[in-house]
Amino acid sequence: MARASRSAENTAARRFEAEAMPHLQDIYRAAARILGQRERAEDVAQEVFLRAWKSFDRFEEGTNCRAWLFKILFHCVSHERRRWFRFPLLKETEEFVEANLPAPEPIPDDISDAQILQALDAIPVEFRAVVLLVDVEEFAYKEAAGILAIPVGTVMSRLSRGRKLLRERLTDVARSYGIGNVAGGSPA
Amino acid sequence: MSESDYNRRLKDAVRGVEAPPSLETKIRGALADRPVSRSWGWLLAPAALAATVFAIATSFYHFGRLRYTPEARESYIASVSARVATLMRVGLGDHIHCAVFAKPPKTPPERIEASLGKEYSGLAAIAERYVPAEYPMMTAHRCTDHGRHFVHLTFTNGDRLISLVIARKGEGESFEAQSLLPAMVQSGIPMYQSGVQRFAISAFESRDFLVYLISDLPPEENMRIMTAMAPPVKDLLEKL
Repeated sequence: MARASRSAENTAARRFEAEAMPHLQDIYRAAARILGQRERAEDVAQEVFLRAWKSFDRFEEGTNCRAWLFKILFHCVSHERRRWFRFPLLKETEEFVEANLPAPEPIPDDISDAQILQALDAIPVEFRAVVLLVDVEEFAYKEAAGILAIPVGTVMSRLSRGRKLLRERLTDVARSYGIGNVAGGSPA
Repeated sequence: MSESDYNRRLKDAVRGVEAPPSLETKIRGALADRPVSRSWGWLLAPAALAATVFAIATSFYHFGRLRYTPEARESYIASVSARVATLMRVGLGDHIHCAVFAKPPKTPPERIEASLGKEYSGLAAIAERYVPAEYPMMTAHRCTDHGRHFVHLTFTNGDRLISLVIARKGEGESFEAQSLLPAMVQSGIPMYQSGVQRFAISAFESRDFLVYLISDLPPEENMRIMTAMAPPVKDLLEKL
């Protein structure tokens, strides 16, 4: 009995190693971008993998392990931050953002990665989460909806608004750094 | 910057952030200390199945199924009968004892009159006229339960049972005398009603007989059949 249990444990460990561990970098990066703190991102990434390991018997082999891990990640983050990107709080934010979005401006060419990250970190987390999942991690709308536990339509609207916001922030960040080499535009 | 350049730059910027090498080691260390949770469902499944079977069996037993010994059947009849008026138990007991448990073989049509005896000639025809056609007659016989004699006709559609049970009155036996309140009066005949578990009971009395219609039908349907057949049945019994 004990031998059978050990053997099952080893099989699970091998599966976890092969299916879950390769996504550590993705999980850490997303956590860092969502939380805005690398130290907290480390803790949350560790928590994600511990939770995943504890419930790995419920993970269905052959399904999308990466999406499953992201779902756990957003669950952890949501739990951590008192579910601050759930709907009731969002509606007001979304409406406010939508009403205050300026017309998109061209993004300067010579903006750095650090400035892109700075702009990304500056947009509200509910939009940032969707931009990260769809534009960076390349999840389908449906997968992103599953990960965030929101309707597909909400994913699409947040993505659209998130992208506009990000462009706006990028322009602001570039301007604050005195970057004015905008493709197709005239220097200030 | 073009849209595609912008998308590529966004991905590169985010993916350029790498987890510290110590994180992987830290996670592996934490994982090694914790066993993966096991699904105990496969161990609980037989227990759940056993509990379900037990619950179903208990329920069946409570409602009179799975009673295979005479003692178990008697205890069931006693427990059910205890919940109806004393005079209602007469017909109910015979119905359960004979039609539910004993299940006598089908009476061939040509044997019906002989089985009931010539004094009850015509009773089967009256009953068949009022019992819905989808419940053909199964048995027509005389039976004895606890030393008491009955004339008993049963009808079934294979699923539900209907019994017409007639017993000669014993000393002092009368619905009226026992102060039972009739549910209705049909053609001058007081009709009495009761029920327990799945059994609906309708009854009336003639001068010398107690007559019961007991079935698994809804009480109002049972009563409707009984009120329809009561006048001709009473006429027949009054002639005996």
